[in-house]
Amino acid sequence: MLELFWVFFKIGFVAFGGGWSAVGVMKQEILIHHFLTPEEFYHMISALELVPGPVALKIATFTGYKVAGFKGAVDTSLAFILPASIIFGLTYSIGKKIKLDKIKFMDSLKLMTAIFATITLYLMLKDVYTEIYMILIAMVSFFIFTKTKIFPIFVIFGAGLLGLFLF
Amino acid sequence: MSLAKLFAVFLMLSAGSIGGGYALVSMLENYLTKNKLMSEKEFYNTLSKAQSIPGPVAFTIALLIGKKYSGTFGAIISGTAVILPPFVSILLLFYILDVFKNNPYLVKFLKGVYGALLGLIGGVLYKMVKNQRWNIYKVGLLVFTFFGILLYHNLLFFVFGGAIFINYFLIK
Repeated sequence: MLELFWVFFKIGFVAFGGGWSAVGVMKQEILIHHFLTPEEFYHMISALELVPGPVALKIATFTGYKVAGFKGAVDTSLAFILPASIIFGLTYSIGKKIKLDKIKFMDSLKLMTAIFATITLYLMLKDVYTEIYMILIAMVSFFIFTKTKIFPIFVIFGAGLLGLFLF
Repeated sequence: MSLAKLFAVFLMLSAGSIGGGYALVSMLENYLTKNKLMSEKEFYNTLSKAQSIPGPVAFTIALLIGKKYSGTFGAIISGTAVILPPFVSILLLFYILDVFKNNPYLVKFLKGVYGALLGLIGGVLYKMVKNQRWNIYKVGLLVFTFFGILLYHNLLFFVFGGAIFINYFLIK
């Protein structure tokens, strides 16, 4: 339990944006600590898209539940949002005393999220890049996400249905 | 907004935000500006503040907005409302997956979804890369941090903090 808590607490501090950029680091830590097998991770990440909420938080909850049941789910969810709550509290208590160049600070954070997103893409591609249909689906959805205004959720469900025929 | 209202609004938005945290952010913007609770500019200021706090944006923006309308207690109520729907639905999802985990159709469906996710992450990354003003130092920092995190995962904090420090103080 303590190990679970510590891992997600740690990730919670660096998970700016909390979306896909944090997923790579989460995958790395989850596999190193043997919370899930690579295959379990792979299924989880897709299945989580079918329920609402921020993806990184869902990964934390799911992993906790898998390892230690209901208590584990509470444990990891709290561990993951605790850093946010602490920093939130700090910005109101001592935040005004620290002078940061806002634009530069945001720029640094954005660079970090871009680096984390690169890691996510790399770690998620690593095991599947030889599967031609998978890459084809990925390329088509990349195009839809960047060039059209179609909601991602439709693309995700569409790709799932396509998967029934292709795999 | 009253506490009950805050709770209801964030609970509904969170439950409806299939497709990730940013879905919640845009629905929240819609709700607040349409009801004249916040101007668009005010909303974007809050959003950028939310992004400078670690953790899911959907959660941090709920804390900020809760605090703004009903103080510390409002922040706690709004934050709780955001994390409840994913928490409950994951417990349900867990049982469904457990029952159907060897179903070939489910496995195929999830495989297709995985493909779409690769494209989605690629798209997110593409926009991030496009919005950065790149120079040779930043590219160097990216390469070092990338390998630093992959090879020395125990030094995650150190690498992360170091990269932010370098970019903030040394790179123009």
